[in-house]
Amino acid sequence: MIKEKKGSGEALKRLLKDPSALILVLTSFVFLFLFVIYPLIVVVLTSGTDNWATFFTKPRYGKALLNTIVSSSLSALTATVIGFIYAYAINYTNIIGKKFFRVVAFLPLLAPSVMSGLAFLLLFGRGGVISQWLRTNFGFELDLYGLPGLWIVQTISYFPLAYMTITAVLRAISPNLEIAAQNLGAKGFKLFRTITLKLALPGVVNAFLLVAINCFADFGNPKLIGGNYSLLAVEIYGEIINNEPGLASVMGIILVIPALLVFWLQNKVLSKGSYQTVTGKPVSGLNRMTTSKKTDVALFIFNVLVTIMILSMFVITILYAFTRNFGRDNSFTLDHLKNVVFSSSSPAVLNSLVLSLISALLAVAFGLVLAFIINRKNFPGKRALDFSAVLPIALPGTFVGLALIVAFSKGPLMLQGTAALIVIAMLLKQMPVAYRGITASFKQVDKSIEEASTNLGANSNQTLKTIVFPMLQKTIVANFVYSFMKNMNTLSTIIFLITPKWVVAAVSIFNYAETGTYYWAAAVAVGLMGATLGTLGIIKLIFRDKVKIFDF
Amino acid sequence: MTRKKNNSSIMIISILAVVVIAGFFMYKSGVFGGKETKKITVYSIFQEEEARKILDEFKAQTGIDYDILRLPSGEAVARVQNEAGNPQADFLMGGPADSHEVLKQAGVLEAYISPNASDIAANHKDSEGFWTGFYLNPVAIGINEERWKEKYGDDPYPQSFEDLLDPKFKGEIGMSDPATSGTAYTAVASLAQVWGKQEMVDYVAKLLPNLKERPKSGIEPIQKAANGEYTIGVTFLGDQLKIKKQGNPIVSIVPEYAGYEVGALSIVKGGPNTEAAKQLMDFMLTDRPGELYTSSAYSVSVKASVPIPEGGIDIKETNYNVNYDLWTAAKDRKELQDALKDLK
Repeated sequence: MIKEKKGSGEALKRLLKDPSALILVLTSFVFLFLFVIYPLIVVVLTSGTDNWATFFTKPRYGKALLNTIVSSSLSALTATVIGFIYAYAINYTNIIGKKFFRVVAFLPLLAPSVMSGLAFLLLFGRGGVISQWLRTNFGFELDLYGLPGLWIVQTISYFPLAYMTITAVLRAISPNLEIAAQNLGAKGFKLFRTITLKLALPGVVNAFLLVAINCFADFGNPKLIGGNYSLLAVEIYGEIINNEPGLASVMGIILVIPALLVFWLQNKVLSKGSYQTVTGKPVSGLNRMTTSKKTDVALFIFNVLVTIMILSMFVITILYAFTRNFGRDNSFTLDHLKNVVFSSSSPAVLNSLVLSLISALLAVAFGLVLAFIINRKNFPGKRALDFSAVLPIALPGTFVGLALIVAFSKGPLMLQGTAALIVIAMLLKQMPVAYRGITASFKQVDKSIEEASTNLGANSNQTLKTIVFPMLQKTIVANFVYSFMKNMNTLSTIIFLITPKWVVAAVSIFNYAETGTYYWAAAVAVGLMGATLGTLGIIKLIFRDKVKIFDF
Repeated sequence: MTRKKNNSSIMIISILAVVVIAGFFMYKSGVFGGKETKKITVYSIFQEEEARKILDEFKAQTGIDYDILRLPSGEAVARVQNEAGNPQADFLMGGPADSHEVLKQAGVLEAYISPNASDIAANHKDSEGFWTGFYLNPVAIGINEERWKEKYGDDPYPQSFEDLLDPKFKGEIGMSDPATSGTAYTAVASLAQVWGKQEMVDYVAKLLPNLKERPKSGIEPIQKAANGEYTIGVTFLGDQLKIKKQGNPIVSIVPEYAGYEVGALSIVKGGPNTEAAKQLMDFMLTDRPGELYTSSAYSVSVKASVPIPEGGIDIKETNYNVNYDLWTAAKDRKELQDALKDLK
């Protein structure tokens, strides 16, 4: 007991002697308390008992909750199944065009998920291209508004997430076990069921849960195609608009509960229930034969169909962006782009770009600082700091936006209406990811190298600059790219925080799609994708082969 | 060696990025250029396309650039009220006058009587100048002729709000949510003034099963009806004529007791650029914006000097509720909307 007390006192003393580290620790505490813990407290306090009573007595809220659970589960289920089959086809078969399929699965990450909603309206909305064609040729009335449409759109826009999670798992499976099973006589579906699926299962469950919480908090798509099918995230928006922050807070808390549950479950499944293949590198020269020719063909057709779905989303958006009014007047025009992308009165895309870059930079910088002090320094309250740094990852975007607007629209710190609040909201969502990634890299760098630097007289600032930073460059850039892309496309996190001066592209797409100005929505979407691609291109030019932006 | 080179290029690029970003922020906050060119910030309840047309012309005339955020009227009201301590916008463009009246009562508007407002009728503007009317627009029943023929053959079109209760219209009507949209609220407020509150609420309760959807934006139902998503869209007449003009088979009927909107303009109190907002108000009340707006929105200008646009309908020749009182509508708004929220 006494020894431990002495230890933490000692740590504090050492920290006080190292002012730059002290500043980093204090700044981190202040920032995380102010923007993670304080808003949470305000939200809980704002949701008074009378609001809880209202929530549970008025049927519309219960219905919204039920709808949200049903639709999220359905979408997560299909997205996971499709993601699994798609990933399996790419990693386990001999089909042609694997590289192409990989690229296609990444495409939806370039666009906000609300663009899937827009493309869906353009194709399958009752005035959409395909529904018009069905009506004129077959007299068939396509009506997908509400749950069916939402199900389809969320499946498509979140399938890449499932695909990527599952791919990582499939790649980690050593073929040795499968080859062994094969030698023991397991073939075809039996091999798949007893070995591959079993080994992949924790990853698949993880993918399902990830997609489910994303759908749970999705705002844009339900709003665009949900019709009368009301969902929690949309109801929260309505209550914020109606100036009922109490009710909104109640629903926000309800939105958070399953997300936290999933977060907890995820850690449990991943840490305890996973099967590890402990072998080192796969044995070269041996090839697993897991699929028959017939299966290959079936899987190839499946992947082609998914590809067509994804590509048609992009094609229809581009067609709308570059024609006067697609379907009615198909003449080529650049007017839409000129009006809403390249106009000083319409800086949405530029705003997105600037805010996303700043926020991504800060997210990575802060993630780096946190990872550094938590992994390398000793100070009291370390666990608490770690917890509040990771916490935002479990919070749905809608809730983060809600918490910030509730906490900072009144009171001592008025940030409502500033760009800072938008930057902070994006940062909170991305910083934990960067923090985790950099922590993982930190654990690979041996501590003794840094200790050597300290022994040679460098303070933590110098150690950070000369030793740590260069060694982490790859992870840092990769996290920056990831944060940037997520920031460019986020809608639910910032929908409450938008001000007329800082309208961002995802919000513009959503607004134009909702009011039926489809060509403008499409033009902004094209502008946004262009800006994202352009920036990624520049990053690629700077870092060349040092950085893999797409892990194809 | 290569690392060193690389690091310096990263440095250069980071410095460049910082300079560009800092410049962008300075540009946003209007550091460049004097006060005259400082941007004006507009909340628009007009469709963004129309608002931009007018603002582009204002920009050409005065050199004042703009930022714009389009919002449904209910959201705009809530936003201006919520921002009272720290106003973000200078000018509120469009939306029914009762919304502006709510804001006037909340004390968040700036009084300004434009010299150009003198020829506007007294019941189309606030006497103290907190808001000024810009256009008139009655609620109408818009019908997709083609879909009507497929569904109902030669049946007569609905002529009154009661006709819409016919069970054959189940799932064939779209109307925005009266609890959030200014459009639908104008319709039900007029009914409440004629029938009384309870009868109006009963009516809406009976109408709900026939509604395909209740979007928040007022114009959506007629866009969707035009696309053939359903047969009938209850919206403002102007929106219907506008869609008809685009070549859609729309017939418009202004039903008995139809309320009308006085689309209004107001200046937000304490906004970042109130001077420019006053300039914009003067500009809005000249004939040119009136023509620009009515010729694309097909409503009627409050000013007699602005002609009825080609393809437009003169409100005086329709069956609308002449006695519709927008001040009463504004006063009853909270009460009526609360009652409507309890439905379903």
